[in-house]
Amino acid sequence: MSEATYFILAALLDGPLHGYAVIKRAQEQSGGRVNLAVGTLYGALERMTDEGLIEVDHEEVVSGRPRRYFRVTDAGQGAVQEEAGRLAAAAAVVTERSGAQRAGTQRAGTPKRTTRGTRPAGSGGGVVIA
Amino acid sequence: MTTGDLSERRSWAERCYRVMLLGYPREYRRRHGGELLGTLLEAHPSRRLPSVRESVHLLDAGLLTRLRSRPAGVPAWASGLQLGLLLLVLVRAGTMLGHVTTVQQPEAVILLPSLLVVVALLLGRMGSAAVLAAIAAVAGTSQALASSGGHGTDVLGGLFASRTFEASWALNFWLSPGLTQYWVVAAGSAVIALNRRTRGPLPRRSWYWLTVLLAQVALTVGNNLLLPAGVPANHRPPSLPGAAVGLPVLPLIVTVGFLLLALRATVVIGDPRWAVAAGVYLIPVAVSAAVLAVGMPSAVATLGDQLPAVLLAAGCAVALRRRAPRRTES
Repeated sequence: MSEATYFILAALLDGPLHGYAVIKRAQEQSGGRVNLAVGTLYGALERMTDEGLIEVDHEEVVSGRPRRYFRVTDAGQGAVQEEAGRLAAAAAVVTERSGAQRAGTQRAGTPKRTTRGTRPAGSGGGVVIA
Repeated sequence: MTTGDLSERRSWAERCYRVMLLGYPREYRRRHGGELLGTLLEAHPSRRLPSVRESVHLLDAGLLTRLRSRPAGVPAWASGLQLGLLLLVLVRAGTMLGHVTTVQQPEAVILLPSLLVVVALLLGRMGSAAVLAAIAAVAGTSQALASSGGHGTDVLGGLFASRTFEASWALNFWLSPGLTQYWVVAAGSAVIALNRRTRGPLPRRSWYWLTVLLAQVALTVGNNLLLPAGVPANHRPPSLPGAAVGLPVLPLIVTVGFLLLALRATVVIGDPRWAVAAGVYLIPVAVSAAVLAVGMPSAVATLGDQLPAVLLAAGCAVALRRRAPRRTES
């Protein structure tokens, strides 16, 4: 699953959103790393709708323009949770090792050393998702 | 910034976005164009002109949406095969029409079926296309038996059509993509027409495809007017005008552009249609390159001879690679 797909699904977990709200939510939740272009977003939304990961919840007209609200399907929820589990397991490979090393060094009486684990979302610089 | 300034900026940006939205298929624009426009203006409320990044992604998304739109109920292989065959006949018919106006005049028995094959393929009438292509193939081969073939520069890969070798007729047949093209079209159309899953006409293709034929006509006419009659494309004197020297490069650029587009569509969308179309389109020149390598090992291999075969192999590999995960998932 691409990072864009992951954050779009994550953005929709709290309820139906329209296109621009998805962009904003994905940006917030990724700490600014995922900055979806509008063309890219709608391409992803169409593809994810075809794949059954999301569906149109309802439509409304704002300032004379239609606006679709998307919501995540059960399949989409399962997919994003599975991906989150996979990412957590992958992160644990590094974080648990770092924790064990830290405990080992403390037991040996050496001065405490800070070890960097997996960088949490939002701590890095801006990455643009195409 | 006053409300008037903001409104003026928005109207400029809106016009630009509307132009860029033309990259999307008409039906998609009709259904979702207003929504996209609203989101674009909401995301960039104070911009006078669209950003480069947003513009590139919008144009790219429009192109991918066009490439993704596939007629319902038609298998991907049949759709790709139809597209590849259509490109072959558009280029071939364009070359023939170009020759009619200048040096060579193909016989009506070859020209008429060639043009009708284009119409049949555009209408999705694969049975008719098979019969007409077979007539054109038989007529073309018979004519080639009686006299040596001419030369020409085809858009999209037929660049390799002109060769002069002192070899057997059979070898020359396989070395002439212009001759093998209609056999490929006849065989491919027959496969689709006889397949159980694709019985009945395929959906119609856009008449805009005829622009490929017109471009080929223009290229052939230009080529024939600029080049001295009877001089093959690869034996030009150095004193030719710049346009005559640059003209043969144009089809190569278009060919490579088309193949890269097909590769991107296959990789990004995961749809094998475009790789199939590119592969089918390259069959005649790939056969020619393979026969040249096997039958005439003493001939100097050029990039032009080997490139189609390499691209064909790459296209097939990508298509197979994309299909493999789907098979395991289902």
